[in-house]
Amino acid sequence: MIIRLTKIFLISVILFFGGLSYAQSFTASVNNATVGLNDQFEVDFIFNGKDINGVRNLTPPNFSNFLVLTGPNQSSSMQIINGAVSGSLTFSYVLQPKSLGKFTIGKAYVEYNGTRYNTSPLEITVIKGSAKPQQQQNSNSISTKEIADNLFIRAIVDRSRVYLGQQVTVTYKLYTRLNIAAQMSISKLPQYQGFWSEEIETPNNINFTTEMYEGKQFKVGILKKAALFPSQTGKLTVTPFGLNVPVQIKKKKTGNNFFDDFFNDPFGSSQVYNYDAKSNSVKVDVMPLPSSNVPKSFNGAVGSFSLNTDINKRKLKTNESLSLKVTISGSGNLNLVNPPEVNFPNGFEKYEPKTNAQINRKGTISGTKTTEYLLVPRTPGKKVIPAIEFSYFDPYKRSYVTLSSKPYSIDVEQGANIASDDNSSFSKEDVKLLGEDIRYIKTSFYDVEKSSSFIIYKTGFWAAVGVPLFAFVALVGWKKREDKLAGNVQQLKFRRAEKIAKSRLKKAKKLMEANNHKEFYSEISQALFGYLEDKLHIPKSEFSFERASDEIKKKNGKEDLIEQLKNSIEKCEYVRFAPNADESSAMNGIYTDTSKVIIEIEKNIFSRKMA
Amino acid sequence: MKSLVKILIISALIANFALASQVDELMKQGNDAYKNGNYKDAVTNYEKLVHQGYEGVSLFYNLGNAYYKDGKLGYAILNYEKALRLSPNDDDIQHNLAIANAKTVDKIDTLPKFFVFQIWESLLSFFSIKGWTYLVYSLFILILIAAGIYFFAKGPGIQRYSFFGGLAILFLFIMSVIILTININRDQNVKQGVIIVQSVSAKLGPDVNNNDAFVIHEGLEVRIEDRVDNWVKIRLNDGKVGWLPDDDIAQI
Repeated sequence: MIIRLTKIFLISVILFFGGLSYAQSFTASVNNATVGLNDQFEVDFIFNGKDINGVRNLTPPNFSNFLVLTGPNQSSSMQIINGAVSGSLTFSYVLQPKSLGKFTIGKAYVEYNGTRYNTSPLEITVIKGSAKPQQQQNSNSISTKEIADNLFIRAIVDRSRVYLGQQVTVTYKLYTRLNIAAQMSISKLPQYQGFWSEEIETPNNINFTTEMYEGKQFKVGILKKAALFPSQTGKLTVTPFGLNVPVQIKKKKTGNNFFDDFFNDPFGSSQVYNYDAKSNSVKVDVMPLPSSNVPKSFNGAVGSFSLNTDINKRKLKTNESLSLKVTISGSGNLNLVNPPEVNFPNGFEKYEPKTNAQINRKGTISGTKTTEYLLVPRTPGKKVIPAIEFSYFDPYKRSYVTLSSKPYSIDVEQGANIASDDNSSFSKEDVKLLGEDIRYIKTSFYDVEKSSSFIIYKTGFWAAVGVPLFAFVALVGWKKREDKLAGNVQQLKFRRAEKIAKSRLKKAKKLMEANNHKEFYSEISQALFGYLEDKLHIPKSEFSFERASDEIKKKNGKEDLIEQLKNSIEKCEYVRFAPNADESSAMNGIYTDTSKVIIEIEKNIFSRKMA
Repeated sequence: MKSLVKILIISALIANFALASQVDELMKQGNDAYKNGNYKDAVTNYEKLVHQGYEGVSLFYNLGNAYYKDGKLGYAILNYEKALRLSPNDDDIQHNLAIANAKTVDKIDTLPKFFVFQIWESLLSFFSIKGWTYLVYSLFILILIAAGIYFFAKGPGIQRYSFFGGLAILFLFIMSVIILTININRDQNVKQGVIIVQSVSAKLGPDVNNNDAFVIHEGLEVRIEDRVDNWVKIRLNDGKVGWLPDDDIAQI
């Protein structure tokens, strides 16, 4: 219920105010919100309503910042649409600003049927000078399009598909059907990116010829020509060429202003217009050089060339100079052609080569390039400068061409001064030595003899080594044996015991015959005792009969043998210390007994061992 | 029979005497020519002896001197080196060889050797091969004597001395034998040569058509490593290798 009431109320309010607002309005407007200091401008206050006659008491805002030139000027209009009358009443003022800055025009008031209406305030910006737009000039001149149809620059290439390093000639031609009024000036030069460029000579003054192009007759002049040598492969672009051309253009009649025409141009109505002409950009497709069968000496020359070599001397002395000229002539990228490598033989000192190029820049780039090598031979002999090779790629034949010169043989004779400048390489010690002279010869020559091989290969040497060695070995061997025997005295004594005993007995027998019994007994006892000592290994100092009989017993001696021995010894002792009268018979008996005993002992005890 | 032997001996003696007198004569002529400044004549006389197969320190040294004075540096160095082989410590030869070497054009840097090797090299060339042979023989005899004393001496003191003395001599003997062996081996396997032409381009191979490797000049000592037809492969002290016609080089 309440909602419904509210709705109705709202709708009635909207309707009521809507009808009112449509019925009357009062607005302010200005023809230019931004004005120059010296400009005039108009401010309008407009009242729209059903009955404009009811408008009373206009109160204008304060125009204190402006100068009021005219106003208020009143104007009204009425219209009847479908029987409904509506009208508008406008109050206008023409104002001029007094000073620079931003200003506000305040509210204007008006009374209508007892109600006060007001406008909203206006903002005015005052600037220096005049904000008025310039008057259009184009109204009486020819259009740019029209000029472009009649004046243009064409960039023309002779080939659009070339090999790397092959010449492309680009020509810039000016086509015109208009009169050129004055000196043209270049506004933009083309850029030859990826090319080595060489300007082709063109006459300083452009000679115009007549040429038909697209059905129209043009005057054509060559502006510029350039030879381009691509230095990289792929699609390369030459940027446009810009030229500022002042053209003379006939003025269009702007009216029957006879005086204008008369005073401006008595010879025809025309004006000068600076037209900026631009050429098309050019695309060139650069192919790489074939990679097969590339000669060893090829280093980038493309075109058509010939090779020529010249040498000024064939025979000279050391330290004289020699010049070798290598000339390459022909057409192509001559400037990029490096002089061919020359392998000079050793013994030549070579200096930096001088290169001289003469290039003819007319059409295709051609000319000659001469490289001069200065050589100074330092050592004598027959020298050979090997054949010089030069290779290039011929784009028309699509193949590589190798040229080669003849080798030169040169006779170098020894000059006067041998390596005089080599002194610098001597070290300090060397210089000291160079000042000295060699020592004098040896005057004694006793050492001079037939040369022979080394001593060690001679038999005499080995004999001299071998003889002392053998002698030494033999001597040492003999000594060894001696030492071995000498080392065992007992053995020696044992072996000699019988011999000594025999000789002693022999001596004793002689003594017996000589009747020298004292000596005889001492000899006999020595023979017996010595024999026993030696045989039984008993030292002399320890010898006694008991000891001897013990030793014999140990060696399985028989009892009667010991008894015999005892008898013999006792007899000997007895006779030695108690000599009696019956000496000769006793001596004989003792001699026989002793001999018997020794023989017995030898037989029974030692014979086995001895055997 | 006896008389035949006698005749033979006498004739041999005469021949020997005649030869000896010829040597004396040629040496004397050479020395006189040198003294008078006729270096070419001196060279001719000395060379005659060399061609007949004679050798000697004085012969090679004098010949080197004569060549030096005659301006033939290569031959001079060649003969000095020959003389030095016979007498490695001869001061005169060393001095003249140093002067001759100073006059050569090529200054080839030899890498400095480790001092141990330097000592070793100077030890090797302390005596000539002949000298080392004599030393080895002397040491051999000394060893025999020491051993003899050891075996025949009576007192233990003398025996001890002779034993240790003999050991020391034995060590020296073995060292000398090693050095002698190395020297003989070197003499037979390592061939040195001297460049005898003023300048020659060493080729990369044993053929005229080969490329030049380097240029060397008179008097340079090189090692001869190989021989193909009449080309020799040489190695310089700095390790460079090249081939030369064998006419341009003389073997020491």
